[in-house]
Amino acid sequence: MRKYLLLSIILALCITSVITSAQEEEECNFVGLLDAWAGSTVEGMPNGAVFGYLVNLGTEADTLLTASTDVAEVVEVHETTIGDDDVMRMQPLSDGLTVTPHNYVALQQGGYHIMLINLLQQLEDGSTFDITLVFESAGEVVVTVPVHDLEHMMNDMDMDHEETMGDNMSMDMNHEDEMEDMSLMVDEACAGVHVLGAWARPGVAMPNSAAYALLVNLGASDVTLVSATGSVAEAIELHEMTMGEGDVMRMSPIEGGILIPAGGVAQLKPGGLHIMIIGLTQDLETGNTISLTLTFDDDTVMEVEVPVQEPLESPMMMHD
Amino acid sequence: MWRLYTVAISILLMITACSSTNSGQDYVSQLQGAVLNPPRVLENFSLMSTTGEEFTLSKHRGEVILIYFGYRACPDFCPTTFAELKRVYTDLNEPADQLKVVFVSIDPERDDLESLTYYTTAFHKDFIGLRSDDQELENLMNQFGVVAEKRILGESALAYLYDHTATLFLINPKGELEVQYLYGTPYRNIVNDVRLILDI
Repeated sequence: MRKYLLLSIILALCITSVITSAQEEEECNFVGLLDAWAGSTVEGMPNGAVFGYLVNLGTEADTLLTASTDVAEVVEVHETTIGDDDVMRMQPLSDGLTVTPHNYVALQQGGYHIMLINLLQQLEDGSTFDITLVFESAGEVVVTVPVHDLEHMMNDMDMDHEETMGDNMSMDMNHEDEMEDMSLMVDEACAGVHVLGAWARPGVAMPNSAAYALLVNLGASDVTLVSATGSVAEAIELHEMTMGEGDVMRMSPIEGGILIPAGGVAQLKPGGLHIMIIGLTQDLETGNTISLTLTFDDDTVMEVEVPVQEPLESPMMMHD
Repeated sequence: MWRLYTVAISILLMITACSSTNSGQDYVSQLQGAVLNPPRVLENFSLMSTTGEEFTLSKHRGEVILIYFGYRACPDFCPTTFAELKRVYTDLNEPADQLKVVFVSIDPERDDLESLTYYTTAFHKDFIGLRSDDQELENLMNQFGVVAEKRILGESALAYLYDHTATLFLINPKGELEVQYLYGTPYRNIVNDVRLILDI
């Protein structure tokens, strides 16, 4: 009898701790700007821009309303769009920029950015500055922003995967600063890898599809996504797209998986890194949800529910 | 007699070999930008430039001009295009005598010549800025089909913004508009085309 009592107690404790940790995961409310960077400016440039990934790990939507920094008089959130007529338009978002739960918004050249208006100093390549973001619910969030030359950050297809990874590596040095700031805000509940904004392309009467997401690593060490599996297709692989000689777009499996630097992100998106879904065993229709199991090299195994939907916006040509 | 013929033929061959630019239309099919065929003849224009002198189109026969319209206040598209142009220029080994990179300000109100000079030369000392606050600017924009719409902003520290054409234009050595590059064109395409046209 005692043996069974002991076993029951142990079992109960195990179940409780599993439930508790599951609840803790749901309670991560981290909202912030990851992989932030600003373009360097030259004399004669009155304004600058901050880019990165606005992430919301919480269960409620939050809105970036405004921001402030010592390096500029005013900070606003802007959106640039370019039409079919090749006319560029920039628009201040007076209502701010909203990030829905478990999702992200990319601030990138040609898209959204945090605009630094009337710079009080030149932004030099290699330097950093702090910016205080103000969110409707999360309140003030301080982010340390490294400055990079625009050429350095040009996401053009010439850069092969090694070069891109190298950039992530060099940004790790700044991540140490970021991690110090972030450790103030990241509770244990938030540590580790998160998958935001996952979606998969529809696949009807076609053999293959692909899934995308923002992989976020709020842990203290680098993590690599090693594999993705699922029952929806014969094979699921991790792929990248690179531009080869003669303007030829090449897709190839990534050896070693997808690295997510500590405190940083890896974005899977059309035209870039993606989870390739090969040999569909069922049609994927808009509105369906598929299940993918992601395995990371720190032994984290995550089951992700991925909605099937049409791309929200056409990828920004070759330059993202 | 034979010697005379040989000399004559040799001279003829040398002249043919030495013609520097591709005068024939044979390169057109290899151009990677959006090609105007036939190229559009441009009216001569002359605007004050950041070199201290006026920049006059007719004085640049034999050169390729990459020309782009924008304004200093925009922190996204414009500097990104400049960064691309810098790569094009350095990839071609900075051929200052054969290639001119020109930026035309569509915001003369805020872009005075001194600020414009700092701006364009910071990307590369050879880059040229053009500025005019009169009809010359409008004529120039019309020739290229460039639109620039001023938008007054109510709730921004920027008093106004411009919606403007982000296309990069290529003027060939005959002073004609021959190729257009939509925003986002890989810089290698531009390098390819300039190489073909200048035969370098």
